[in-house]
Amino acid sequence: MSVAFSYTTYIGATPERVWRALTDRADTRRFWRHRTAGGKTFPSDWKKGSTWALVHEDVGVAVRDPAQVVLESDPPHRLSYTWHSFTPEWAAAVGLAPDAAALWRAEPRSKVAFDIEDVGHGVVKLTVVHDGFGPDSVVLESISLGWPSVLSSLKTLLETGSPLP
Amino acid sequence: MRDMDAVFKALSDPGRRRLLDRLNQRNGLSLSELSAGMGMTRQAVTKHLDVLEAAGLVTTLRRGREKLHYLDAAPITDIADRWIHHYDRARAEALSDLKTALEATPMGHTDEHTFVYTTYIHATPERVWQGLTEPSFTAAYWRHPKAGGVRFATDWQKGSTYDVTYEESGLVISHPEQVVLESDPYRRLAYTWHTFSPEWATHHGIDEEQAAAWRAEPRSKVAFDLEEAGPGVVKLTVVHDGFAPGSPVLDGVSNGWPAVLASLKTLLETGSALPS
Repeated sequence: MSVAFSYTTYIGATPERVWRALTDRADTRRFWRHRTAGGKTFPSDWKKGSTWALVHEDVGVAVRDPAQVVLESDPPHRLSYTWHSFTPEWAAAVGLAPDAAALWRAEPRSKVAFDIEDVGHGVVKLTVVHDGFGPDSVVLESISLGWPSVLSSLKTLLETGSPLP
Repeated sequence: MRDMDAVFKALSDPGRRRLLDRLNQRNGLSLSELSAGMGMTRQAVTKHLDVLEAAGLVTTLRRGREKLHYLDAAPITDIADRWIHHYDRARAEALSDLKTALEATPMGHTDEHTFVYTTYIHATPERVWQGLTEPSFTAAYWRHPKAGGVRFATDWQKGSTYDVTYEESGLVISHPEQVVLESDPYRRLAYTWHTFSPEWATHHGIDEEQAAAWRAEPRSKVAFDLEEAGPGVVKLTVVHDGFAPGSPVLDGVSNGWPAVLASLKTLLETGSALPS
């Protein structure tokens, strides 16, 4: 079994707009939502080597870790960072049982990369590759179910002005 | 909106449940008939029947001096829908999601034999079905830069054949093995993939040698599953399989589907397909 998740979508927007949607608080909290923990924001200066935080403002949970690092940052073409930690506070906010969270935490830290490619006529090809998982990763299973929904809502937000309900 | 608290409260008493069982066996009983053999006083039975009637579980009709009691199962059906089937369905969906993930992760990525892609569309299942089947829709978002917009000519009945036509070029791809495998409107559609005829290859700018290799592969099939995933949102899952290992056709469709499905989503949400 492969140990990567990849997903491609096409969005009627400029590369700059897609970059902003992936990084800016005003956008991410609208389309990048968790069922119970609410909208996500990612405070960071998005410079290579900088850290980033995962903040669920609605429930007041912030996940910070010096290992949450921006690996590549080439606006508006490519962004890559290591994935966030699975802290007990985060697990409680998203409804993940403590035992399950401990299993997630024991896995290697994965990373995600976004490629933003202008394919002409005002359309951008966005490719998301999330990898660095161990074999039989439960984190991979979970993010594989989550990304299509997040990326669908991102596309809807940029094309219609509102995220998916 | 039914008062669920009243229904649950009415059902919480064993005596009242026995009265309902009794009416379920034989409907339209009088107070005397219902009281007989229940081990309860008439007053107690009357009180219980009042609670059941207030909860909408029992309705009464007068026949002369007598009041006859009828079971109304609608609140119980509502409970089953809300509290039982709903959970069954959620669990079944979670299992099927997990199964899909286990069998075919990562989505949008090709393993040896299968392409799987999920997208969420702000539309009704009826609209998404229309988007997949109606020529005026498919021609708008399902386009090849050389051959033009795709139209399917078929009645979409299980077992029927279909033709693929390209309006701009006038190309028609027809074959008795181009068949609708499953057709459950607004829920699931599956068909075998089209033939890579020499004319198809010419119109798509694919040389005949490559097309011949594609033609030599087993005929693949595609299935579309439509599920409601929240208010006004459809989860569309596309599974294209039946390829030989290392199939170049699989590479081809894996590159094509994300663009086609992204444009379908844009068309249904904005009224216009993505420009191509």
